Amino acid sequence: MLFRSNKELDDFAYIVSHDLKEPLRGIYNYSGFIKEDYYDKLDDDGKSKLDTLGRLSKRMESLINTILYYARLGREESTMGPVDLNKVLADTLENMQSLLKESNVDIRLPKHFPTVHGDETRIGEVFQNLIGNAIKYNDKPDKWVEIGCIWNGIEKGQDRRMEPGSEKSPDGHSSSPVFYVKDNGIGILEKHFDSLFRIFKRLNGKNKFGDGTGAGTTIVKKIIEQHNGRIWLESKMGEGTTFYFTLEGELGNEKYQPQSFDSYS
Amino acid sequence: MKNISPNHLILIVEDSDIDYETTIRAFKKSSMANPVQRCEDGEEALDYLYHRNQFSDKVKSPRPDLILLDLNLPGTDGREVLEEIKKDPKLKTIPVIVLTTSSDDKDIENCYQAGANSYIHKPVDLQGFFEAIQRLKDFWFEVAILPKNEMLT
Repeated sequence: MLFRSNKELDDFAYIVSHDLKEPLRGIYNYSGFIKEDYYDKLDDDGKSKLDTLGRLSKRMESLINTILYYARLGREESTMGPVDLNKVLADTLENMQSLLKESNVDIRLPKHFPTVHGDETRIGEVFQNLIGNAIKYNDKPDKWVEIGCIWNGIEKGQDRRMEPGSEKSPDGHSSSPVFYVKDNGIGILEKHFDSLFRIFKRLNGKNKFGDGTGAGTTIVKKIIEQHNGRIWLESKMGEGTTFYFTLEGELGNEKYQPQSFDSYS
Repeated sequence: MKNISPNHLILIVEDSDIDYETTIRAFKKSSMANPVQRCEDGEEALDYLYHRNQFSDKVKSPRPDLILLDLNLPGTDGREVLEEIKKDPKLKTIPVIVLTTSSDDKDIENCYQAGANSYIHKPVDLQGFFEAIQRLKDFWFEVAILPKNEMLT
């Protein structure tokens, strides 16, 4: 029932935002036409107001596109299947190469990640968003981002091995690994931990750390929840933030395949 | 190289006045002087193509050489128009370019399934839109060779 109403809400958001785009495009185009035909007839004040009109309609457009995208996540069937996270991370980092180079960030990766059950494209988006934020909200000269995986509290570093049977949590159920993206960035105040995931909520002024619609973490949370996972964070101001998340797979029925940890056992 | 005469008729199926005006503006920028017929919805487009109702005079409503088709139209929408055109042995040779705001993967897939000749996403920024029309003109009116209209009518 809840699932159905969420779907209806997504349908509603999708249709409404699609219809909102048309008049908005009209406003934008007409301000462009005025600019083309009458710009030299305007004084500086008029020019600046016209430019602002164009800029604001563009901003509105990107907000609407974000809602459209968010709604689409809940409307479209996801393609669930085995997802090799090593490959996903390699692809994601490849996609982000220009950003990685220009921000001169040190990306730290443990050797191996498991294969999970999920939607490959969307899991890639989760990593891309979290890594992107880790780089963006960082004012240190030596930026680093560590992406890792914890299994029952034991970090899967290169030299650590999973104990036989350790995939069982204390309650006897097989547990899922916890993934994390850790940075040495600006940090987030604890009072913002919840509102951080709210759509369009930004924690910093636009001029400080660059533009964005403030929907990245909202989208990340939605994708993770679609995988029946959970996301949370730890942070210390001035020292850095760690986002943790789990991915339980489709409807939580499919558990991880411990054999995909072969390299550790 | 040039195979299209400036007389080639373009049918624009577009309900939004502002989008139509923008397209015409872009044509002018690309110095396209082709005659243009506009239909505001899918039903009107089909009436035009089949010479029905107010379009029964074949001389006054000649067959277009190229169709620019919006997808989201009131009533009969662009998807249905596309299917009708591509199911009709006479009409199917007219290149149909879907020009839409929808970037939905499903729309793209369905349009090509139905036989669309290309699918163009209307760029939001004006400059991008003008460039898209310029390229569209370069390709369809200068690089591509279109079927001869007379032989089919």
